[in-house]
Amino acid sequence: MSTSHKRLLQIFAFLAAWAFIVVARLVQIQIVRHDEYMVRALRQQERTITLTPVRGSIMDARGRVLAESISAESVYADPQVVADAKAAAKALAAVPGIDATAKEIEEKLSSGGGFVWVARQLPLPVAARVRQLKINGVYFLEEHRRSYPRGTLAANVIGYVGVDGQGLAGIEHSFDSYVRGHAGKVTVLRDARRGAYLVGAEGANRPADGKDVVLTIDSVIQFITERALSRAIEKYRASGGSAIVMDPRDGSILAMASLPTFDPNRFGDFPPASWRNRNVQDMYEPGSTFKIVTASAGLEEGVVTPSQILDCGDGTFQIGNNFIHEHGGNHYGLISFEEVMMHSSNIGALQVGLALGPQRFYDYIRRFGFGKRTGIQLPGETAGLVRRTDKWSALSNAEMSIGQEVGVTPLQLARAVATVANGGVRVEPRIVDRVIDAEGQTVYQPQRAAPVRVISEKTAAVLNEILKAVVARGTGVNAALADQIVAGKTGTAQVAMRGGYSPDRFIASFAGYVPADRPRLVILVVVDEPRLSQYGGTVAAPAFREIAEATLRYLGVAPSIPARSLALPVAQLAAFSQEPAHSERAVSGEVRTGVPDLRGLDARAAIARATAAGLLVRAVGSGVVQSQIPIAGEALPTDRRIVLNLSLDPAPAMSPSSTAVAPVARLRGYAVTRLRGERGSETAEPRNPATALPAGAGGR
Amino acid sequence: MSKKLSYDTWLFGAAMLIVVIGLVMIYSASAIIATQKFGAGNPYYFLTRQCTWLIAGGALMVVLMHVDFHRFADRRFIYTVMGGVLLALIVALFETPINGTHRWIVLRHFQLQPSEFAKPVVVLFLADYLARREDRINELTTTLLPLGSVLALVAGLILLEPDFGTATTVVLVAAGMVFAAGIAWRRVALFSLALIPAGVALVLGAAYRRDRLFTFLNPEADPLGKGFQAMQSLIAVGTGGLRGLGIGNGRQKLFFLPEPHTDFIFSIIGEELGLVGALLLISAFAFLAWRGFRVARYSQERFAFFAAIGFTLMISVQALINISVALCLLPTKGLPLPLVSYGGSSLIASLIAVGALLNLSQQSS
Repeated sequence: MSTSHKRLLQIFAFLAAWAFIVVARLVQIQIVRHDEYMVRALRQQERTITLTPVRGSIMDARGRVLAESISAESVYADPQVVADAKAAAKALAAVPGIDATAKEIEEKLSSGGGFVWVARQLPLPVAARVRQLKINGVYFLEEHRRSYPRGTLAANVIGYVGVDGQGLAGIEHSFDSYVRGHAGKVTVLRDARRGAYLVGAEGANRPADGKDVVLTIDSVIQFITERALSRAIEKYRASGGSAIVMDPRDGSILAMASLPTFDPNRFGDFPPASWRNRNVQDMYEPGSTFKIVTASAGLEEGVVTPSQILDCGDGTFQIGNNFIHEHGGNHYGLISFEEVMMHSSNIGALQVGLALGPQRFYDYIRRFGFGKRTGIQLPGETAGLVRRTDKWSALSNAEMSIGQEVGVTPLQLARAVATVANGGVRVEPRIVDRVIDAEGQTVYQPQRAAPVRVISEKTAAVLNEILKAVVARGTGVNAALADQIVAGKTGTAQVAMRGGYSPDRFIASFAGYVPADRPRLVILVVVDEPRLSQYGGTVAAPAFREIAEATLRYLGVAPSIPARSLALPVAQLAAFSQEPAHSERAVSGEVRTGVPDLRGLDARAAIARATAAGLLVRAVGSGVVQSQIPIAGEALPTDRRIVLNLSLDPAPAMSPSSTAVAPVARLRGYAVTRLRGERGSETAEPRNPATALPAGAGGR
Repeated sequence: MSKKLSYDTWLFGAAMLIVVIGLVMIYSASAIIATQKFGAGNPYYFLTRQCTWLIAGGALMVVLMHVDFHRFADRRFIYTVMGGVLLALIVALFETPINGTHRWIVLRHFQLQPSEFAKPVVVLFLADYLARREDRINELTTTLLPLGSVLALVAGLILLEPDFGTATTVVLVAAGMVFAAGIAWRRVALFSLALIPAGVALVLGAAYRRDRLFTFLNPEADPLGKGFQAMQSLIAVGTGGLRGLGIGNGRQKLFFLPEPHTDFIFSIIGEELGLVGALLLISAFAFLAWRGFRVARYSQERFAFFAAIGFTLMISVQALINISVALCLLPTKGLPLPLVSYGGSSLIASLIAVGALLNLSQQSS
């Protein structure tokens, strides 16, 4: 082999060796370390971008928006790019709508980082003005801003959100998971210039906007309630207060006010205490309103009857070395139990509690739901404080009978009152009606707890009469309405302090329901530390009346103390038709198909409902329907006739007899059965003569 | 002297396969850059231009195939083109710099890169020179010094641009030809020893070369800075795996990898065609080199022998350097992959080499 050929081969061998190294390297990179480079590639080529959803709205029961998300723009800056921080800050601060001062902005723009917020969530016109400044290094980000178009209205219920859209209180917090929606994720294929090149990922990764929450709150009733509460607070120079309006039939909270309140649009400007919802987050000693529980238990257990005479002596009751006094130094002597309630006698009430004994009394307190959260879907609810009987002192039984030594939330108390209004059935309060999607389809409906019977319908009816008397002639007269019968109870409690009670700080309250015989509204008004008066009947009862009056008018509830004219044609009367009371329905769950229950309705409403049910009406007398033939629940008569017995005296009165409960219950619709089938204008047989007597005839 | 007047079809086929792979990958690698630079309607910008040069270079190649090679062996011709190239290299130094280098002479529609044409001219010059002085190859003053002076002049001008890659190629090709001429091993050893301090001095002399050298040694130490190109190239090739992402599916060309259609086209080939595609291309080059050396092996004249070796080395050495750079086996250099990378001067110069080889293949026995 010639030298040339040898050299040629050597050159070729050199190149082959080089090529071999190259191939080996290729195998190493592409096969051995493939996964590693794959990871590196994906890390730099792909970026996951989070797409923020639009937060859902919060609406009242009639679809009025209470909280919504509106388009806004945030302004941020890259301090590295901003040339003249001082001039830029000055220009930015000069834009109306930007709160920060030039100095604050300049500090941010002078910071070392690559990103600073200049202003978050500016309204679009403000952002547009910033844009006009054309400052280099100042950028814009489309965001959504939470807006509460009605300001402070229902603020303590709705709550508020943080600047990053997270619900921090109220419904905004408890329903955050629904309202917030789901962030979408999009994988963007990037190029090295950091511009998105290809957008992938559809379907499951798209953002889902938040759902809308529909409350049971009615903005108008809420407004009425807040206004009345605020007037009471102002008038009596109180420190605050709370009020609840509830529909006893299904537990719907129609209004829930807590004062002082705040504007969720700028909650940071208000003291944190004003963010609380006192109705569920705070407990207080209810005082005399709690006597409703004492009375319920006493009547149900038969330890007392309305007409039973109790010795209230000289206004002082001794237990061991302790003395319990009547309010205001009163002494009532011998009075009926109904009068005990009417005048809110402490000594009368505590005797009933003592007669019950700790265990029975405690059981009733628990059955009314005290000492346990109502489960309303609002954050921070407290259970209140009801001590077990083994922790009771010698005084406890008596103290608790008059609403002391027990901590309740306003909501718990309202629910207890609603239980009585409802004929003895406890219905759980509800604040969220449903959650709907953008198409209005219900996506979530809170489960309703099964109604629980706490006291018998009879006991509830008896108590109803007592509570009507409280308003008609007792401490609650300021709650009385001209055209509706009101039942209720006043409360005046001393504020509990370490080691006793404050001598000059009180909580004045009024709890009641209206119309008393067909309750549509349960209203509780609690006024904290009024300074010009301490009495619930003075401070809270007028607010109750104001709320009740305006709300009933707003709801179009026909007066139960009626106008006497029947001149309206039937067709028009139909407009007055009212929903039947739901107490029976709530218990049995059945829908009544027979003769409607018209008792307690005024003539117009009764005729309208009867007509709607396909009955021919014959009305006797004027006023409110006291009885009817055929009675409620019976099958429709073949001749489709119904005879209504009306009377101006709205209340079937109490029997003075010691066995009061049975006659009163019997009154309600059973007294006129003998008239069945008869024709003519005869009135029903006079009821039990005792019932014709005005209520409380035996008292003072 | 028996003459087969048929050229080596295998060599031609290998060259054309490489060119076709090049066209496809140029389009794949450049379409997005083209739309970015020249508007969405123009993804074929680079492909169209490359095709134009392919036609021009192809025509030149066909002409070269059919002209009697003795015309090019004529010394007057060789010294004329050598003079032209040297002049062009000097002119390029006075052009406005592009990317900080003086590699191009800007014509109306075309940027002429003289260093590309310097390579075939040096091959021609050396083939003639060595053919005449093969027997005195070990004489320092009469043979090696004049040879070295011419080489130093050409390589020096290219280094001034600066274009370290092309200068290295020129020196390596020349070294290979001198080696083939039978230079004594002790001289090889001597020159190697002499080149080491020179190379070290050169490498450390220019800051940008130093940076590149050290990042080549460890590209992951500074993946976002000096090691960026090397790292991105490795990621591209590594992502390809065995079968690659498929033609057009590469992502590294989305501005991660600089010059994806020119100097780093092999990285895109590795990414989109995988190990299979990369091996196919390397095999094609290897086959081309084998056929080229075969032309030399069976050449009838010493000029043809040295010219065949020179043109073969010119393509294969440059290909190996380019691929080695893409695989981080060598420091990063701005050097195209012959017959594949986008670029008129490079393609035409490479086609001249292929055409010359095909011409010589007709002369071999």
